[in-house]
Amino acid sequence: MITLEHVEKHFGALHALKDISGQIVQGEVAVLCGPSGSGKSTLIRTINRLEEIDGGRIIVAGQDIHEKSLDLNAFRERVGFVFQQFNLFPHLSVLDNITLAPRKLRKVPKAEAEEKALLLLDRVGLREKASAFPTSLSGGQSQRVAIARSLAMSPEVMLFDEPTSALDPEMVSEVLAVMTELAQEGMTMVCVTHEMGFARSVADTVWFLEAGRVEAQLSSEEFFESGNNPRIRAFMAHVGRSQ
Amino acid sequence: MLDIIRENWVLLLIGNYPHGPVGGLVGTLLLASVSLLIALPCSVAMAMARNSHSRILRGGVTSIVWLMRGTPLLMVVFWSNYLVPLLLGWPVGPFWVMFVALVVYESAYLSEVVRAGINALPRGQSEAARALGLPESVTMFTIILPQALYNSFPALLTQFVSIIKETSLGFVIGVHEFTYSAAVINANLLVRPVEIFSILALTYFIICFSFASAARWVERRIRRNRGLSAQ
Ligand SMILES: Nc1ncnc2c1ncn2[C@@H]1O[C@H](COP(=O)(O)OP(=O)(O)O)[C@@H](O)[C@H]1O
Ligand SMILES: [Mg+2]
Repeated sequence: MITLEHVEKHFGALHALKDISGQIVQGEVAVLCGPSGSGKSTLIRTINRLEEIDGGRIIVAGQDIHEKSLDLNAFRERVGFVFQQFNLFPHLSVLDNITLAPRKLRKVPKAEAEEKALLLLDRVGLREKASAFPTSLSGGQSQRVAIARSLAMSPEVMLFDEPTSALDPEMVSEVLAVMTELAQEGMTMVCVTHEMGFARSVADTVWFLEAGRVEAQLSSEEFFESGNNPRIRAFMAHVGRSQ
Repeated sequence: MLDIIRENWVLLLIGNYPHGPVGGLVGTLLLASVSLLIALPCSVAMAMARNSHSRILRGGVTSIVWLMRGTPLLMVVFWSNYLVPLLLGWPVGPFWVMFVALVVYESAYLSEVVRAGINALPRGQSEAARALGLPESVTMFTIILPQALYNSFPALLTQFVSIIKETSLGFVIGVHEFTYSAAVINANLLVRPVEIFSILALTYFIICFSFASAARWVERRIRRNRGLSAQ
């Protein structure tokens, strides 16, 4: 579903992504983890071209996403992205946040778009918030709305960049529950997260990044059983402590 | 002082209307309002041009803004007094000459206000729109501008106060506005200029102070409604 080949990225003098290759199979969940500043956000943002790359190739659903003929906006419709800071549109109601893209991009009639939006809100358990405005929502609720907003375009892939890092601890689980359900329904997902419990139970593969390099790319079982990589061990001890 | 007002209130309020153009205080507010009404969309277009990909567009509009910011309004008024009729090929009344001068001048200032409003929005807003696949135009008109203009509303109101004050410069090219009325009264009475121009100044002050206070009040409300703009 997603193939990365020798991806390179520089920010000026900083070599942010170094020769990154790997594959995410359709229907699988890949968790990206690693210390802060290791390039996780940069990497996941290259997959929908929020970040441009300097070298290598990225292929999503059989298509080279840097090909000149690519309709970037049409491509992005097929890839959902969930941000750490939710990035809901504060001047639009929850319902309008969700229906905006289907109505503007697919010309879905208002009533139909709202019907689908309400179903999505059901899925994330927030139907009663349909007419609320984002500022009145808690962090966990905001992030669930953000997920519903992405799902409204029926994406083939969902990308999550630390979706629970900005949340108060008691709200983390409600967002992870939605993500877990999505994974069980067969969504192809890439998640940057430090929630190792989620990674253990949901991820198929775990990528461990450090200083712009993929240090390890293991199946979930291998990753959690591999006590032999001292860097991973140190990292796990660190996130274990901070949770 | 009160007798001056009592005897001249019609002239102060609406000028010679209906025997001449609308003037007085109403003329002032009319001129300021239509100028703002037209300058605002112009300034939005200029703000967008300054954030555009086209280097020529960006450079051109930036030069206009800098030129206006570095020029006294009075020069722009003189310039448009001679140039506007020349460009159009027919005579243009002082009201419309002043209107053109204010629109050109204020568009430049307002575009800075609008641009600041756009740039103050969190990056995440446009990123979220891009990630959804929304084209730039939709992002601009449904996500960015509504928030930027809402958040800039107090600054726009403050700029309206400037425009009101600036209309008084229309006096030098004979626009029938509030200052002009006062000058006419002064010419009639001859011996009471201090009182007449005190009335003038006080009225300007009351109007501008009211708008400025309204701007502060609105700003507090917006801060409260939007955690976003205050960040
Ligand atoms: N837009 C940018 N400009 C310059 N440097 C950046 C930019 N984005 C990220 N970086 C740098 O790239 C490195 C990787 O950042 P990031 O991908 O955000 O790391 P992570 O998400 O793993 O914490 C960091 O050193 C960060 O400072
Ligand atoms: Mg990050």
